[in-house]
Amino acid sequence: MSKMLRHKKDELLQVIEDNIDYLVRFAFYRVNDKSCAEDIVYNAVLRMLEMDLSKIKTECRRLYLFRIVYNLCQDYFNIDRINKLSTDTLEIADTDGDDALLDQDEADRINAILDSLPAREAEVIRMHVIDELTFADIGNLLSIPASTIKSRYKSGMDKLKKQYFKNDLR
Amino acid sequence: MKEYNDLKQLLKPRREIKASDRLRRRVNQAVDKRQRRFFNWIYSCAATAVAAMIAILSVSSGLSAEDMFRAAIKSMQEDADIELLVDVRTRKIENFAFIDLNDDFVQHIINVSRRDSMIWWRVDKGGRVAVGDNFGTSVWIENMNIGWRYNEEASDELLGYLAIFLSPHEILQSELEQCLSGVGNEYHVTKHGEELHLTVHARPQGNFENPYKLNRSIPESENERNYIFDAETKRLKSALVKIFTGSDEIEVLRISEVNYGVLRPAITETPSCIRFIDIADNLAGLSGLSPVEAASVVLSAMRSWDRTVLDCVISPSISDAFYKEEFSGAVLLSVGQQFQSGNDVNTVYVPYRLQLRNGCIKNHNLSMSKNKNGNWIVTGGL
Repeated sequence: MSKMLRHKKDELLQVIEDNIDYLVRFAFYRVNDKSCAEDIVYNAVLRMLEMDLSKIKTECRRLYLFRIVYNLCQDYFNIDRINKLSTDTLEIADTDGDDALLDQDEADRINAILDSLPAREAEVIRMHVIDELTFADIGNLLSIPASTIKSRYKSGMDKLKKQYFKNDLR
Repeated sequence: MKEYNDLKQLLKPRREIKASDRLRRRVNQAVDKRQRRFFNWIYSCAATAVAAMIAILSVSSGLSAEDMFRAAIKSMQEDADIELLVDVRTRKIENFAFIDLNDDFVQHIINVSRRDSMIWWRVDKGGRVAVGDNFGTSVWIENMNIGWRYNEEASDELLGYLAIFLSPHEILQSELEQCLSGVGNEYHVTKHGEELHLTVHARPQGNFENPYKLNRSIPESENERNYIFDAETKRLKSALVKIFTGSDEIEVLRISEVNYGVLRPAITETPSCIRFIDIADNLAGLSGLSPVEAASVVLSAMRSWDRTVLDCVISPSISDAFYKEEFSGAVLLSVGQQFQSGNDVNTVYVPYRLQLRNGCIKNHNLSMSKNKNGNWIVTGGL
């Protein structure tokens, strides 16, 4: 039994370790706060640990983590932010103050560009361009056909294109 | 194509966001800790309170703790399309959480479609309908041709106890979790042939020094929740909720049908004939006032329908659609002392007496909460 457990743990740890930077970035550009982003990722890991991993194909675990992080980011804006996160996660991330401000400015810059778009189009663009997810991954993540994802992406980018050339955001 | 590439460059993060060392340590610790906790609990729970409860479950159900927990987790993984017919003692047009022991049963049709952790749902109680997904929620009242939208998933707030039926596959698991967290409810599981019966006896949740909210929702009542699951699949087959008032025991909710594999087409579609308004948490509210003072200001403003006050505390579209006709011209006669009741610690109630334009006297309790800025807004009681 202990051998099996060790293997299961190692496998999951590997998935987490391989993706943890991406997950934090994914959460950060949604909640605009590094500390909260890390709490969300930590909560996602806790949730993943509570799942019956034998039911999730190894190759799907990465996307499951993204999905959980995505849902937690949605929850973050729903109701009482603090209560939504388990109390043992409320630690302050060890980020340097200046770095945190610069990171936040960068998130604000990107989100300001995307804010002009309908939420669903902005989300697809965010996932594809910033989070570097493929259209197929995004489709799986949102349970929407990849063709719909592509059309949302195109529609959003076309709108940005018009706005970009009109207002010269550069 | 060049323009697309330019845009992508514009959107590319110029700062590198990485997980901190602290997060990495916490994750590693969590993996170790959770693995230890899970397997300690499953395999060596003899000396703990949890073990005692699980032992009771095991004896009465004939299932081991491990079986129960694994089955609950297993049922959580399943995707499903479900239709439930739920009868509740309430009124068709009232809020979904509202119950009244003196009302007749109203049938609710609940449709849920779930794929992985994404959800699409619809609850139709005849006079009031709500639909939602992970992105937003819409509610409408058909005979008033008005509805409102929330740019967020708000099923728990909107549906109250009914929200549990959006995740029937989680009922067993969540009740077991409550059992482990020791919230004081009494649980009993028995196995009858192919069925698993779960009974939960719960005390009213909240503060009832003032009983205004007692028995106005299922959690705010002493209740017994009976669930029947398929012993094999752990799928919910039926449910029944009774409320205890003194020596009376009144059935307030019952599931008459649970149909799995029923996919309602266009589950979250909203009717085009309804005028929808967006509800945003951006009301300015009233600051620097006690609840009684704030209630007095609001209720006094109704006489001249003073929008500078009313629009701060109630969404204008809502007040126009629901309240203006009845309350404009009303004269405030008195307000009483604020009180709290029930399980919503963020809400206070202020009793008032108004003389309406038609001469009728209205006695009620204005419900007020603080918005995110700490200012008072009106959340009900009109």
